[in-house]
Amino acid sequence: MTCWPRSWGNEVTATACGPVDGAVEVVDPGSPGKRPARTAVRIDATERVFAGHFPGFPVLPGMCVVECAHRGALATLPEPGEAWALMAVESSRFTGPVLPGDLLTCEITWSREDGAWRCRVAAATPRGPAALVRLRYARDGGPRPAPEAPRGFQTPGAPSAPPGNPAHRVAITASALKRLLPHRYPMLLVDRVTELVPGERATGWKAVSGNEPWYEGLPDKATDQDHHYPWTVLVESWCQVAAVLATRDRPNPDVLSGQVMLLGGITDARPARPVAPGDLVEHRARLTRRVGDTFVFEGESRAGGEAVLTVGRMVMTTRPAADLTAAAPAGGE
Amino acid sequence: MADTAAALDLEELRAFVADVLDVEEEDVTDDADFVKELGVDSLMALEVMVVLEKKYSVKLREQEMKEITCLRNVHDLLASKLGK
Repeated sequence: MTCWPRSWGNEVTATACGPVDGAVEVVDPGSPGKRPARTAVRIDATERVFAGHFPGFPVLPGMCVVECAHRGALATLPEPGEAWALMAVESSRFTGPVLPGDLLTCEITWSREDGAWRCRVAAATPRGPAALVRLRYARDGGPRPAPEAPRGFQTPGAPSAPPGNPAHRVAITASALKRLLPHRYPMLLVDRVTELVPGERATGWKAVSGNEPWYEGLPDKATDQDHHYPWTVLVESWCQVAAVLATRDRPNPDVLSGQVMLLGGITDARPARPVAPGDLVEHRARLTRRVGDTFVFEGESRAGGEAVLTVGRMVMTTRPAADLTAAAPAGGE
Repeated sequence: MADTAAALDLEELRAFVADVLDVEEEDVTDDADFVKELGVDSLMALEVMVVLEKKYSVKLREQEMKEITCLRNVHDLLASKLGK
């Protein structure tokens, strides 16, 4: 059992880094068991993620909605203190787009359970529900189960591993990724895919750098904890490796036509240890099930030989691009 | 394998399905329509299918997903799978 002192989450302060530029304001601190807490954040058109998610059609990434829910949760946690940290995204389900200019509100209902605080966050825009997110917090991140042994992957150094430097194994290069995924800077969060077994699994790398835009606003006095990679961005990065597996046979890098890949939801995503600049993260995504154009994945991420993230379940689907563009307010920017 | 799978209990199944769908347990009556009454979409239906397969160690076919319409049908579907 490993406990990470001051793990991910609680260090989100006014100066901490993250993928959302807007400030989350507490509208009502709420009262557990009586009334939910309420927060709001204005998603300006200038949010940096919009440039790459997606070019020509800005829509807030699902994990950025989770980031807003997470920040709102930390700001309204009924038992304040330094030690509370995120233990799990128990579930998240995305039901409506968040577009530039939207006021994203969160209604946060807290409950105390087994020494942890859980909350159910209903996120909405003026057009209606955007997401339902359940988060779990514990002191110091709580006890963490030993990471499960990965299935279906070769462990580096295992006798069956191919000879040579594994860094030279490239199944899909950076330029090829741009033909498979619509994501662009700063939201293209996978650098290379090293293994891809169609219909089964994919492994991809994300090299974390202190030069990423999330670190731009950090002051010089920022601590190492302040430099922990935003875990919501890490999950998004993992999702993109899964997306490569899903779109490989029918790539569509243009979000303005045809079918668009959408994140439906993520269940039981657990941080295991913080990732920092310099880490080379290996994401592993396995396809659990496919029915039509809907895919269910699971997997984990590792860095330096250790698990950094596990993802219990992720649902991805495709929708006609016209359905998305129709959601944008007419005459909007 | 049936001997490693969870035993099929209606109340346990109710609590389990309510958790996956993120609805109150009392709303998941035996006959409550998942789509019309509990707001289940095709993505959630697939999620229910995947988690049931894992929990009960059964394999459901794609066309059997259509039977995931209410708790009673889910129970009957699993009972027929586990009885084999």
